[in-house]
Amino acid sequence: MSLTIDDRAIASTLLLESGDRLYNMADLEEGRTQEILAAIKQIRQKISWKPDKAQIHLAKRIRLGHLSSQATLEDYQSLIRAILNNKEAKLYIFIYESIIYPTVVANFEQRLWLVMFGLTGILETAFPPNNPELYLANPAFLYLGFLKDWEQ
Amino acid sequence: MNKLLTYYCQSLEFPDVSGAEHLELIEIREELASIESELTEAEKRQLSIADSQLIKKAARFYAELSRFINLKRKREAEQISPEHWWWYLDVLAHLPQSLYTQEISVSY
Repeated sequence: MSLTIDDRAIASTLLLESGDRLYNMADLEEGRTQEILAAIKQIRQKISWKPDKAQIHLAKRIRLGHLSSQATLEDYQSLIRAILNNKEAKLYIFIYESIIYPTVVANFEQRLWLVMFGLTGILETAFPPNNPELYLANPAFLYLGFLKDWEQ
Repeated sequence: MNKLLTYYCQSLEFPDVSGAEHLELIEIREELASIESELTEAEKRQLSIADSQLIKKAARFYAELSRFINLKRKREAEQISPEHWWWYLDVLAHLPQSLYTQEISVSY
């Protein structure tokens, strides 16, 4: 039986309480799975930002030392593409009020970066959390497994 | 300066990035509260200045943050007290901007 997003949010909480964060792929609605994979495919093909957001995110990455002071938007987007194409990347989804944000997580130069986007393939953000373990422990995140396993 | 405090201060310069990043910002403020007694006096002053920035920009931070968390529900679920005011950005967002734009002179 397929679960609705709300059902899965509840199930996720229960799984978290039992210490098991891996969500079973088979439990994800087929339609949702296809939407997530389509969004990943789309953002790999073209990184699209929300209006006026690209430079703000770039400026913050530079300010926090995540990127060099000389980094350009193209540098930032190259890094994002590297995360999205990393063979060891892990796939999470962040769910809030039935809205799903696929999130791809991988290492880049000794930092764990995450790339979060909407099901429309529009980039939400890409950054290395200060404490990735704590950040990803947010119960709104569901860990789905390795991205490569989803794309087989 | 304390690394976490620096991270907090610098992040406050960017209220218009994704609310997904603001989730981290609030958690960092929570972490700072737990180590506040370990901060130097200068760091405490810096934290105070940074906090005033967060309050001043509460509406802008909350506009993004509200797409990722229901703060009221979070407070109720975890019984977060008002002393941890950074979890009340949804409330602080309603403070009149005139509080910050007017020069207030006080005579004693």
